[in-house]
Amino acid sequence: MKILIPLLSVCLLAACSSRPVTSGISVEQHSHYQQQLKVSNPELGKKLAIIDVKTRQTNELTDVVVTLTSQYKKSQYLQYQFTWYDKDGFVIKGNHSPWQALNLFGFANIQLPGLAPTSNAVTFSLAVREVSTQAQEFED
Amino acid sequence: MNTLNKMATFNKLTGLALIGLSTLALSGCANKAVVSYGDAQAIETTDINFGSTDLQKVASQMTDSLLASPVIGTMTANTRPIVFVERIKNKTSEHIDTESITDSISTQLLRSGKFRFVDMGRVEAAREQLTFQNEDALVNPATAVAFGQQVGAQYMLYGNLSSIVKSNADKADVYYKFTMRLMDLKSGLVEWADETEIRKTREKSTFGW
Repeated sequence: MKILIPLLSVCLLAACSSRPVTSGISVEQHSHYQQQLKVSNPELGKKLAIIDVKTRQTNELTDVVVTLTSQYKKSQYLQYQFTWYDKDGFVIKGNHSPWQALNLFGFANIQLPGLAPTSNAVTFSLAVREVSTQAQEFED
Repeated sequence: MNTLNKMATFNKLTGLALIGLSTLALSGCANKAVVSYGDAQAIETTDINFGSTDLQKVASQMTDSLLASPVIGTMTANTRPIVFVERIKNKTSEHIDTESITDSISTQLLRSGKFRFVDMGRVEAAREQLTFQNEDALVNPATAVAFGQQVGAQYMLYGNLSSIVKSNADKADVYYKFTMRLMDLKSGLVEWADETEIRKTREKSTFGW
């Protein structure tokens, strides 16, 4: 009984503030040889790493593969999104690259492919985050 | 005796508090209607049926595959081929607006600047407008667009969407396969084809939250 009341109170308070965790890790490419890795969710950063970024030109479009590696024994349910920019760093207008679901198995590597929507798109950023679960929503 | 009474009162109070909290927890925030804008690109998992995320995934993967294909590279090197979208046959058991998928694909291909499209869905409207321009006395004949000047499509884009659905008491599984082809209308050859798959599973949650 003594345990149940605080537990229910926590559930009650948590239920009213269900905002999903949307931070993750990202990589931004500023030029052909300069990339910046950003970890805004250290917990995910421990379980996941971006180990390689390769770019090339395919049919006059920038073609990119980003290699992700899992540093965790269990499967991870993730989602990723590419955003494309022109040579001046402006986001490509009207390009709505969707979040895509990704199941990464324990200690596995995976290549995420991205293709520029137009020949103006020269640099990109890739964001990876966890699919938010209800357990995460109760955390601050 | 006194201690027993105190114990009983405490138990009653905690019981009441528990009931009160449970009611609050269950009804809690559910009574308040909240309207908010969501991310149109976010992953949507409301149910197992074909949804916005599947549509976006299919459209983006097909466009990427078409634009990165070596055959398309040769085809679009010096010219912008003219394409018409036939349709995507819906062979699933669901009602799916396949025109919405082809709209997304043709928009993304047009935006890439490598293809041009003719819209077969607006032929009648164009004909009506040209008839008006050429036969109605209201229009200056010098500015009327003449008949017989439209350009014919060189390629046809078409495809199929099929699904396999399986379920039992605890689990439901759906598998979608989307196939797309580009045919050269002159030779009848299929110049490009690709397919993409989607698997969605619904299982009963361990916590019935």
